[in-house]
Amino acid sequence: MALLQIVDLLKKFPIHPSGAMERVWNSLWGMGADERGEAGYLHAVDGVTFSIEAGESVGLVGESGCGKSTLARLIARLQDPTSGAIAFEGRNIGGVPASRFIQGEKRRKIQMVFQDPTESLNPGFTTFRVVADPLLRLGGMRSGPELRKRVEELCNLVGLAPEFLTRYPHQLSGGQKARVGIARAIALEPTLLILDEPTSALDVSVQAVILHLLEDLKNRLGMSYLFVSHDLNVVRLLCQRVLVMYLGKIVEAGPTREILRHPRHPYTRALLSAIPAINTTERTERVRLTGEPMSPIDPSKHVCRFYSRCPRREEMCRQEMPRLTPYPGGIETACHFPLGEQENTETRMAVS
Amino acid sequence: MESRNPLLVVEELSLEFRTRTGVVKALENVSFEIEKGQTVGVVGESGSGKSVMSYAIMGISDPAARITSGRIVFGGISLFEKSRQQLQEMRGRELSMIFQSPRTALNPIRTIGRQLEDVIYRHSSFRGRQIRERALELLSRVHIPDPEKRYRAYPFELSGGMCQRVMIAIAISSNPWLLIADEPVTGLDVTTQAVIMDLIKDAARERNMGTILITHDLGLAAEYCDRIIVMHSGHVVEVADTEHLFMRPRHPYTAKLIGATPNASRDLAELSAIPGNLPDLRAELPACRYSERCEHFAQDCLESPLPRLETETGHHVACRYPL
Ligand SMILES: Nc1ncnc2c1ncn2[C@@H]1O[C@H](COP(=O)(O)OP(=O)(O)OP(=O)(O)O)[C@@H](O)[C@H]1O
Ligand SMILES: Nc1ncnc2c1ncn2[C@@H]1O[C@H](COP(=O)(O)OP(=O)(O)OP(=O)(O)O)[C@@H](O)[C@H]1O
Ligand code: SF4
Ligand code: SF4
Ligand SMILES: [Mg+2]
Ligand SMILES: [Mg+2]
Repeated sequence: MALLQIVDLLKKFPIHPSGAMERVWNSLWGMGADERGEAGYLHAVDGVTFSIEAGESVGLVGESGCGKSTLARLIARLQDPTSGAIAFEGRNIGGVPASRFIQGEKRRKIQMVFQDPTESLNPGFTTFRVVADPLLRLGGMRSGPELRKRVEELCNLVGLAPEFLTRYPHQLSGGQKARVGIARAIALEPTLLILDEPTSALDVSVQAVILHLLEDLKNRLGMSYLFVSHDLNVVRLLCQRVLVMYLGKIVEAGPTREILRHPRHPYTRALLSAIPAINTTERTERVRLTGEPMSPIDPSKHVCRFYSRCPRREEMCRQEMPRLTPYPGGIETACHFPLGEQENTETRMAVS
Repeated sequence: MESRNPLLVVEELSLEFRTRTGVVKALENVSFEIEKGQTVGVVGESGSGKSVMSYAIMGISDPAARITSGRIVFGGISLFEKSRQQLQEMRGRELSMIFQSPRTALNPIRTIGRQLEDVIYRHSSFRGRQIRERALELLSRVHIPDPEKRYRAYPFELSGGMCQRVMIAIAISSNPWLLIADEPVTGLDVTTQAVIMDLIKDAARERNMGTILITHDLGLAAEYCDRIIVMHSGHVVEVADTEHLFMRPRHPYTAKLIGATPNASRDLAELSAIPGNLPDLRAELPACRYSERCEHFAQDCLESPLPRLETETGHHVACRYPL
C-alpha cells in the first residue's frame, strides 16, 4: 500500500464577478471595489493522479503557476480539493475539511515547508517560539529545559546558531528564515514531509547541509518527501522519481535518472535545456519557448495544454488531450508526438 | 587620473543593528562600483549582508540599523546628503528594487492591476486608458498568461512566481537607472527564469540600466553578470569579472562556494558543505571573518588590516594568502 495515493485530484478557483473577499475588504478598509471580469474557473490542479511509497522521495517540477504549491497545500490539507481523492496510510483524508484536519492526528504526520518563508512565519514569534510551537501543540512536550534542548538541536541541524533563537523574522536574512521553516517542519518527524522550494533561498553550502539532513532523515526515520523545486540538479540529488507538471496536469513522470537522460515530453526537454551552468561546456543548447502560455481559466478539455508553445505540435494536439502513456524505463508521458531516443542524443552531441 | 563616472559607488560602508542581545555588525567596509549598463552579481553566504546592503542603497534600512561609516554615491551625488523627500522621489524612479519576498512586498488588498496602475501613474506621463494598456503590456511581458483576466487578481490568488513577476513588472515600469534585484528569479522554473532574465538584460541594454543581481545560483550569475561580488559575513571578499572569478577564484571562500554547487554530474555524497558557520556577528571579530573555516589559515590572518590585493587588473581579493 502506498503511503500517499492521489487520484484524479481537482482544484478550481472561482474567478468571481465580484468576490466575497472584496466586499469584506471593502467594508473593513473602504478600498474601492474593483469590478471583476466575467465569472469563470481557474483550474489550478486538473486531474492529477500519483502515489508516494513509504520512504520514497518524489520531486515535483514545472512551470511557475502550474499548480505545484496548490497541489502541495491540498495534500497537506490546508486547502480543500474540488474533487478527487487523497488517501494517506490507506484512509481518504481528502474529504476531511481543512479546518477540521488541523486538529486531527494525521496533522502531525504530514508537515510542510512553505515556499515563502517570510509569509509563513508569524512576525511576532521568535525563532524559538516558531520551532517550539508544533512540539507544544502536537508533540506533547511542555515548556522546560527539555523543550529548549530539542529546539536548539533542531536549529543546529539546519545550521542556525543559538544566537538566532531570540530573533524575530524581520531580524533574519531570507535564508535564515527559510531554515527556521525547515526546523519547524521536521520537529515532529513527520511521515510525509512536503517541501515547497525549500532550498531556493539558501546559498549552496547551506543547501548542501539541508540536502544531507533530508537524506539522513529519510534513511534513519524512513521519511517520505514531496519535493517541489525549480532546480532539477537538486531534484536529481534527492529524488528517485520526478513528476513534471504543466498547467495543472502531470505531463511526464518516472525515475529521475531516466527522465533526465531521455525526456519524451517537449516541455520537459525545454526545462532541461534551460538549466544555467557555471561551466560553459555544461550548458546545453537552449530550447527557448516562444508563444504565449495558455490561460488556466476555463481551459479547453481537448487541446493539449502545451499546444500554444510546443515546437512539435500538430493538428491532432488541438483535437485530443494527450493522456499519460507508459514507456520503457518506467516513464509515463502525455504527448502525441514524444521525443525519440535519437533526438535526445543528437542534441547532446550537438552541444558537446 | 582618468575620468570615469560610475553609476553607483559604495565606499567603505559599515552598518550595525542594535538588538537586545548586542550589536550585530552586519556590514564592514563594503566597497564596490557599478558602471552604467553593467550587471553585477552579488553572491555569498546566507546572512552575509546582501539584502542589508541593498536596503542601505535604497535608503530603507530597518529602524534598528545604523550606518557607522562610508558613503553611497549614486549618479555622482552622495545619497546621504539627500533629503528624505528627495530620496523618496528617487525610489521607484531612478532607483528600483525587486524584493526577496515578493508576495509580502505587494499590497495584499489591492489587485495587481491597480498596483501597477499606481506605479505607472506616479512615474510616467501615461494617462487615462494608456495606463491600463501599459499595465497589461507589462504583465504580458513578464509572461502572466491571460493578463486581461488576471488583472483583477489579488496577490494571494497568484502563485509565488507570479507575484515575483508582477514585482518585476512594477520595478522596470519606471525605466530605472539602477535596478537592485534580490533573488528575482528564485523559485521560478528555469524556462520562466530565462524569460525574466532576458527581460532584465534587455532593459539594461536598451536604457543603459545598471543592475545588481543578488543570487545564490552561481550558474545564473555566470550567465548573466559582467562582474561578480562575493560576500562573506558582512565583508566583500572578492570582486572580479565573471570569467576571471570562475576560472580562477582567489579567495578560499569563493573556491569553496563554487565547489559546493550541484551540477549535472555530482552526486549527493560528493556535494560537501563548507564546514563551520557564519561567525556570531555580535562578537569581537578577527580581521578575516573566514579565518575559522579556512584551510589556508595562518596566524597573521587575524591581524588588521586585512590586505586588499588586486591580483590582476580589476580582480580584487581581501585575503592575506590568496589562492
Ligand atoms: N534587524 C536586524 N537586526 C539584527 N540583525 C539583523 C537584522 N536584519 C538583518 N540582520 C542580520 O544581518 C545579517 C545580514 O542579513 P541579510 O539579510 O543582508 O543577509 P543576506 O546576505 O541577504 O542573506 P540571504 O541570502 O539569506 O537572504 C544576517 O546575519 C541577519 O541575521
Ligand atoms: N487562492 C487562489 N485563488 C485563485 N487562484 C489561485 C489561488 N491560489 C492559486 N491560484 C492560481 O492557481 C494557479 C497555480 O498556483 P500555484 O501557486 O499552485 O503555482 P505554482 O506551481 O506553485 O507556481 P510557482 O512556481 O510560481 O510558485 C495560479 O494560476 C494561481 O494564480
Ligand atoms: S501533444 Fe502535441 S502539443 Fe502537446 S506536447 Fe505533445 S506534441 Fe506538443
Ligand atoms: S586571510 Fe587567511 S584565513 Fe582569511 S581567507 Fe585568506 S588565507 Fe584564509
Ligand atoms: Mg509555488
Ligand atoms: Mg537576502
